[in-house]
Amino acid sequence: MTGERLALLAGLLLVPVALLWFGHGLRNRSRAAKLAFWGATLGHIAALLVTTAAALNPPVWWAGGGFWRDFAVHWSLLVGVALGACAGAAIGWRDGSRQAADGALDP
Amino acid sequence: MSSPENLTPVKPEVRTSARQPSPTSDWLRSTARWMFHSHLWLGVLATGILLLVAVTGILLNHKRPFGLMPDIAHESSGSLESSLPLAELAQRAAAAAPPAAAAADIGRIDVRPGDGIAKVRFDDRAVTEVTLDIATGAVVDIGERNDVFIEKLHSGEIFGDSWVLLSDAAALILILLLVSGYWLWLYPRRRL
Repeated sequence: MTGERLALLAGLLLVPVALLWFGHGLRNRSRAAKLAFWGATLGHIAALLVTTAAALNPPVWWAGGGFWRDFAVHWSLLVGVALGACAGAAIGWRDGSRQAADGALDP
Repeated sequence: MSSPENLTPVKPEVRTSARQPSPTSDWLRSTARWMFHSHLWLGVLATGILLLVAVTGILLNHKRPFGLMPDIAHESSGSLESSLPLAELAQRAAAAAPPAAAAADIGRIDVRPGDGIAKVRFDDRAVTEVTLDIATGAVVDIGERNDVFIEKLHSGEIFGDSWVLLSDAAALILILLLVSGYWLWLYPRRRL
């Protein structure tokens, strides 16, 4: 099995299960972790739509159909989750550091 | 005005013996818990595959209106006995097909005696199909059979023969989701 097939399988099966596992006990996690989770979830949902659209448009076998289509079909699920998680975590850390700075300035 | 007797608080009835859960309620509770978790985890696990299977299924159901396969209306111009041999039909189809298709092997020839046509399908990337009149050998239509790709994607066959099992697994999960969904609907008050 090629690496891109593994990436597709991981994006289809492992990522949702990992997200569900991570989502348990989310209430007790930090704000950055919560936002990372929701970012990853939204990223995965968006990537699912991208993967489906890329796989079916045009409705011919994607091998030999150009780099971007091949990439979108096989890798967008993993990339979408990673980007969403990073964006969510970055927003959480930024807010956290801003609040910490505000707290330090308060007398 | 109420009398003092009426204001006397009524002592709550104290139950001396705790109600023991019956084996049936234990079984229902554990089954409900199992159904809930299987519904949750299997649903999440199969989301991507079921989405793909559902979308491709809808496309396959409406493949003609969506233009995924040629829609040819042709009347027979001769009897089956007077039709050209398959080898000649294949040769004519290869001559009429685009170069990429002609260079590929012929996947199948589908003869429709009632319509007087033969569909010669090539194994190229776009799955080109040349439709010929079986009596005269005239080219009726040249088009792409996009439904072949979608059908293989629907079954998982596009990735290899063994990938059909992934589609089977998704179908089994769908059945389990139905069963667990019904269970949770019929026994919603069982505490998890």
